[in-house]
Amino acid sequence: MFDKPNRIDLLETANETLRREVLPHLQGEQKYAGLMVASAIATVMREINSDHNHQPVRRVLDGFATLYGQDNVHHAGGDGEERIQTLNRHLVRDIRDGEFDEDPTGPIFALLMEQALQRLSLSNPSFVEASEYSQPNSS
Amino acid sequence: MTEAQRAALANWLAERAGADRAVIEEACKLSGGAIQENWLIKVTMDGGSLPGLSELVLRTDSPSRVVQSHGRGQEFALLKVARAVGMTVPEALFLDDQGEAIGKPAYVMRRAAGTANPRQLTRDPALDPHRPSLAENLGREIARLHRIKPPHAELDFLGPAPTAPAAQRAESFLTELDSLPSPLPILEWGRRWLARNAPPSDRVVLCHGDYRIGNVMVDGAQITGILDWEFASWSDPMEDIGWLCARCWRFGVDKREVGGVGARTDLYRGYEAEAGYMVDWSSVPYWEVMATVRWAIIAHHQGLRHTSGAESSVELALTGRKAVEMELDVLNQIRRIEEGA
Repeated sequence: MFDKPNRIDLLETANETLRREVLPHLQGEQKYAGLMVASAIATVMREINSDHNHQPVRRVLDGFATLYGQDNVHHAGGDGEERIQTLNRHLVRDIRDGEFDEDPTGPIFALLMEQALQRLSLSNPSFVEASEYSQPNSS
Repeated sequence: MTEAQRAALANWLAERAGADRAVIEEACKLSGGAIQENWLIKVTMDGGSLPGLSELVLRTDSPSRVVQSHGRGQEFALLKVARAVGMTVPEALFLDDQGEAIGKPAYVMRRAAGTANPRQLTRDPALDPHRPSLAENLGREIARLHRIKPPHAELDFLGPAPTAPAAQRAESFLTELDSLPSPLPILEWGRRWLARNAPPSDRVVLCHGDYRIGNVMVDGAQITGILDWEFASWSDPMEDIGWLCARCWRFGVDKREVGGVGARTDLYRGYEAEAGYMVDWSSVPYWEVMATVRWAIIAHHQGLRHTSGAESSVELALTGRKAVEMELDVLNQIRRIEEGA
């Protein structure tokens, strides 16, 4: 794990080689498969780069604190992502119980939007910017 | 396909076609079947109902299938019923319900000419002058199918027609959400909104259930076959319209609201011309939300097929990751409707 090049360098180089030297020679089904592989590698690179960035988890937890109060967020326990899972289970139960029926685009909306945006910032940031659906065969 | 499978397939085709002999010239797997496998079969037969060289498509289950989808025998019946009302569908030829030919249930149909490739159909400039007629014909085709009303003797397997299709569809999502491992609050919220805002349906008809670009074969600018009948059901006809027009099925060409290929006014004009009456389109935005929630749930299930180990596939894995794109769309669509209300 201390060797150079590090994992990001390796993935970057692998993806670069795939795009420059392999993909141009592929057709049809193989080309589509190659583009999907390139897209998967790009997603993994973004996620590795964000490993030390706790911003997405923190922003979602802040959203929960606004809706449920800081104490309830604290009591959910576990690390950041486990805590979000636990809180989401509560949220789903409350939604099914009709807790937010009166104002579906009220405070709950901000929390749901935050979750969507934070997840997308990793898997497909261009969807947030341009609201553009991912097209593995268009990149 | 192994040599033994090819030989068994040749024998089975010869027997069904009443031919003296069948030789498989080519058998290659076609793209685009996440749920089913499609094989292009080029076969030469001596005598029988298909003499000479024929290009057929063999359709069979993929390694892990979606529970809600129809079996091959049911799809075969749907193709026949749709063809009988004048919809352009591939001619269904022979059904192998027991898996005699290749070891699992399958059927063969005639190959429809052209392409169903969404990238080509949404972006090819050569299609541009023909887009109004293409969209109009998409309307005409689905209007023909929507003439079929329940009950129907050959479609018993579809079960009883729903009295409240929108509310019942929204209700059915609960089970599908419960069978996913992670809580999905955005889809729960969208589903709740769908249940609470369900419009009444004045017509319940046979719906294709997956009527979108990617399932429509086009040759030049002509529709040559509507494919993939595995999700057909009795429903509100606007469900098919919402699915075709939802942003998540425009393949990145948002400005063309009909599946990224054409304009809504052309679709609606074709539909009304074929149906012979004016249609109230006001529930279409609702059904587009339904489409987006449904596709997001299916995408999560496809991702699960990969992560559960049932079927390792980079396409399924990426589809699971794509679900969040539809989730953001659900939020935006509902907000827009609520703000306009």
